[in-house]
Amino acid sequence: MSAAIVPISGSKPGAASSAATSPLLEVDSLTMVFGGLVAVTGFSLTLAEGELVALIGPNGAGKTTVFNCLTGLYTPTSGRIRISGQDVTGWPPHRLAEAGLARTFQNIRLFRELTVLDNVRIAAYLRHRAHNGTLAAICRLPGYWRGERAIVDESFHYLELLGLADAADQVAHGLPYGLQRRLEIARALATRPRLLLLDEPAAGMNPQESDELTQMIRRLQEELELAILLIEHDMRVVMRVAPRILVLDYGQTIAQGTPAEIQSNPRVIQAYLGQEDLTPGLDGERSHE
Amino acid sequence: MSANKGANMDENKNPVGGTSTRRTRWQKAIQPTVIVIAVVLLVALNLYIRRPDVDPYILGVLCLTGINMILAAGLNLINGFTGQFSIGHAGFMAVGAYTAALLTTYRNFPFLPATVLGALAAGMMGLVVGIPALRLRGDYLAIVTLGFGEIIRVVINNIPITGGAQGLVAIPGYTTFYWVEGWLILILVLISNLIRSGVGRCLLAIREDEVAATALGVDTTFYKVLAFTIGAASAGVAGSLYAHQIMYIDPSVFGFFKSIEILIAVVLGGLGSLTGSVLAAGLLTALPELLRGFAEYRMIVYSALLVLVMLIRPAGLLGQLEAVDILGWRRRPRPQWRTTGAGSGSDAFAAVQADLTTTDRLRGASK
Repeated sequence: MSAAIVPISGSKPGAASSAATSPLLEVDSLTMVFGGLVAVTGFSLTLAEGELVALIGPNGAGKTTVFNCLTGLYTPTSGRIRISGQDVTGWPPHRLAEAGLARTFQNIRLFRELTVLDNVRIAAYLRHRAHNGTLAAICRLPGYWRGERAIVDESFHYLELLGLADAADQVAHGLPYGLQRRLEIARALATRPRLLLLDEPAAGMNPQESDELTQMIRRLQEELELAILLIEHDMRVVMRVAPRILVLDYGQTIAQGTPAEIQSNPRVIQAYLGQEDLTPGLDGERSHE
Repeated sequence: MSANKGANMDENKNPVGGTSTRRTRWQKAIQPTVIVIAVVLLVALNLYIRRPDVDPYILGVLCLTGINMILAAGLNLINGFTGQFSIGHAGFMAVGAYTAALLTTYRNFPFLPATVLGALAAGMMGLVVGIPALRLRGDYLAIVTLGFGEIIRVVINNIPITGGAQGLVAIPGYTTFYWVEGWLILILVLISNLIRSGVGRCLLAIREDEVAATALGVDTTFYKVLAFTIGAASAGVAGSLYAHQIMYIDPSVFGFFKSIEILIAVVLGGLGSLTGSVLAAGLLTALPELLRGFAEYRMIVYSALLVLVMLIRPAGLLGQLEAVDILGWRRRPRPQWRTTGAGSGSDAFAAVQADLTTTDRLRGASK
């Protein structure tokens, strides 16, 4: 199995004990303003290690903005974000990835011209680069090949997991749509995250594909003990995997609770204009995809 | 464990993923031919150089070709592989040329240390220019690098030690074919090692999608500046070789047109193809000389050929392909556990779980 393990920079006794006491992710009244537009206001969320929460809401409700703030693409206008008790507000995305955040994108962002394997290898490199820096690469120092092999070995674990191993040498943009979505998940996993942020993973999938995805998300959470934050319009997926749901509308959190509570919440029903209820299968949000 | 033994992940015994390299019949047929031709050419070239009656003109053109190949390879690292459009490459060449030439001419430095120092100076300049400039993208970056290139030229024009516009004269003629050949091979090996490594894949990731790259933990600023610095340093080497070949340099040599000339070689060869850069730089240097038979129509023919190539192959001669791709030598890495059976993929979940838990997931928390 993968032999090269990145030595841990953050394994101080203090850090370990704070991880035990504070939740994995704490978002405290996050607000994001673009010019005159308030995209998200007063968003708060606490996510424990290994927990799964779904974020739903009509289009333009600010879900992706929340993701972009969490992953460092935007610096929030106000509010704080903490990972295991440490304030990470305003950290650049690559440091947040190092700290254990990984995401997929709503509009698939693969490295299109590169192979499937390379897509995953780039992500896996994050945990191996201590041994494979620039000098090691340029001069092909002794440890270099061992490091490269460890990266390949590990990358194929993720490819195998997502059923992509046989497509390893294909160019990413040549993959069918469903496989591209899976490759994004494989790539995110390869950074060895603690928290996985999935931005509409089921978008554009047929019912069978989204059923498979539902299974996969469940297993990721249960067997890998990954914390997952999920944005999804497909209520069939959301209602099946998420024990806790957060509803955003016009940047505000209008409801929070179990699937049953959300489905009977009048404000939620109102937000999803014209939609009588949120029973699985009745999904008014798909039409504009 | 399995990471140390069974190192031959490229062996053909892999039952699942096939062989490490898959070659078509066509590729198998031309491979030996290509190797033979390449070796014969290289040997013939080196034997020819040793002849006492060697034509100094041809020798000069050969050296210039090698120098331009170095320049194109360095610029391709920045423009083609990292996707940062820079058009001030001649500025870095000037820094290397002047640094090395001043050291050999006035301080009696030997050629090698002078060239290394020239490369370091150019690399430092690349670092200084790169850190602010690489915050920009696309057209804006191009304009800024163009501006920096011109600033370097104008500064050299106006400080006394460089001889200003009159140029630097009486530079010792140290550059030989062997120096050029040696540096060219060294730089090509280093750059190709870099681009086929984890670092190189980070550069490609930045070219493909910067947002996705940074979300996956790639420190985009670091890698962009890294590519820029290495590209600039290689231009410094080329500058030193050039100065000690021509034995006279003045700032106008390193102007905008030189930058464009290098850029044309990179685009013609294919952005993201090292082989293509070498090929195109060779063609573009040799072509004007070969076309001397056309007398005054020479540059028209030259330009027409350029237009023709870009019409037929808009992505450049080789696109993003390397010689190894064309000949079918590209490795297709396979995991060792598929062949050794260790940690086999029968339960992918268990394997991934092991990967995830081998890392303490608290990285970054102590920074």
